[in-house]
Amino acid sequence: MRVEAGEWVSIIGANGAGKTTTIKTIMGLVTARRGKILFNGRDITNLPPWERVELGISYVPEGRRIFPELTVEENLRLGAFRLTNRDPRLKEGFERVYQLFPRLAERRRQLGRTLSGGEQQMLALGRALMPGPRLLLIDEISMGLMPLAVNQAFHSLWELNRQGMTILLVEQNARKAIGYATRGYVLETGRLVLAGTAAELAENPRVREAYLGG
Amino acid sequence: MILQQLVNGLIIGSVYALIALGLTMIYGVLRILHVAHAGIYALGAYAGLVAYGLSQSFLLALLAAMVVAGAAGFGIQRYIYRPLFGTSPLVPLIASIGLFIFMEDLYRLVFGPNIIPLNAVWPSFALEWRGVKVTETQLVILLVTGLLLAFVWFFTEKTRLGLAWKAVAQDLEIAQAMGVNANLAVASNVVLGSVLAAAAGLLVAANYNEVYPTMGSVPAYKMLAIVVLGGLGNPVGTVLAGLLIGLVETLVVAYLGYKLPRDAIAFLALILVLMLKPQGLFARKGGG
Ligand SMILES: Nc1ncnc2c1ncn2[C@@H]1O[C@H](COP(=O)(O)OP(=O)(O)OP(=O)(O)O)[C@@H](O)[C@H]1O
Ligand SMILES: [Mg+2]
Repeated sequence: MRVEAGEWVSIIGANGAGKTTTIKTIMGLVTARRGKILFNGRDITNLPPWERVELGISYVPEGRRIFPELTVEENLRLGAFRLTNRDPRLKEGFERVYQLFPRLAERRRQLGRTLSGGEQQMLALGRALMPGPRLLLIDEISMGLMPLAVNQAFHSLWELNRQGMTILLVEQNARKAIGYATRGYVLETGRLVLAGTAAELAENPRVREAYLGG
Repeated sequence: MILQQLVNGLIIGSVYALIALGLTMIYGVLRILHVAHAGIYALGAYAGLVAYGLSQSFLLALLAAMVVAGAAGFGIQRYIYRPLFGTSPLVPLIASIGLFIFMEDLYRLVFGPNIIPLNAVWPSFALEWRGVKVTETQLVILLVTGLLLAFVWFFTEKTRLGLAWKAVAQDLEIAQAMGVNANLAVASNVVLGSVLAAAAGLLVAANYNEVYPTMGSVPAYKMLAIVVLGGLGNPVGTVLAGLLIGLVETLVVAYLGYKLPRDAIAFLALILVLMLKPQGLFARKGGG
């Protein structure tokens, strides 16, 4: 599996196909049994997650997983945890995220658990953007969101990708995932069964039948 | 003399708060009921005893107790709890109880089974105000616990490390994915918690002028009761619960005589609270 700089790659697959496991392995939260993970040519297979963050990998987990008892601002601060308080990139991070999601700025003193689902998704994405990452790993951004919020979330990602952010997205919503992507992979019971450009996947009869609803 | 009893109660309560705060901090990040924390408490007293004997300086003794206990805490989390990570929560609990028993026996082997007096002497500066007396030892206890509690508050509320502890307590996996070095966060937390227990142990040893192998046994039970009363993993609640138990114990003993054994009061309170408000006296709404 490859992701080139500036690309948007989507992984689709049924429940239990191994999408979350794949993303977590790249983040370092699950240990790879076999194979190697290279990031900018460097072998990161055995790096702990916190060092992968430092290299520029950021993670938006499945189910958002924001810190419920921390404020919006503290959640964002954690996103850039590797930066010290005096680092100018910290302030830039806050500015960038608050500009992208003004709603988070309004709610910066509110506890994470009191946010609405859509706001929590903004926070999960904002938190991942705080350190100015080079690669965004995103697991099920549409989960539990209303269609309007799903559209907004994808629009934010599209905008980020247009500005040069590399994205690896895992999604149940295959139509959107493929629609926005440069390339895609199909996972079935832990195996890569198909790879191709977004257009190729969208035309593939197997993909159409299994994931795009005919 | 109610005022005098209140002062006495708050002072003993502040020691309870100190030891229980360490336990609740450690529970917060590790999700382990670290029973051996009471062994660290006794270790602090023994290390302080030795250092005091060598230096005749209580300050040096306190520092030595904290350093030794911090090192022991580091070793425990590194070589006992970390390898047990991911097992059923009962496994580290049993390991912790076993470790506590081992520590008590180790103290017995090294220092003998008898009570050893600490004989700490300090310049006399006892305070008296309208009949309320605060002894030298009590003042030292107040000063040390006050400083340590303020230090912990500063650490958890104002530093990056404190934020990391909170994040690890709420979601270890995600904290790591945000760049928190989990090993470092856990180690620093256990070290600080152990430092608190050691200070409490040495202060109590100074107060009663005795150090003995099983001096951690009653605090072991009491700290568990206080931590649950305070709402497991809730530092502010734990400090308040510690102060409260100290007060209630002292008042009950003073006004009802010894009809109730002093050490049973924490458990009576625990039983009552578990029946009426099982999330603890000071549980945050919806917090976990
Ligand atoms: N720690 C684990 N131990 C054993 N099996 C696991 C573990 N984690 C995941 N699995 C299994 O591995 C398979 C893949 O899980 P994964 O979470 O990666 O699926 P997914 O593609 O993300 O599914 P979903 O769309 O439901 O989120 C599942 O069958 C799951 O039960
Ligand atoms: Mg998944």
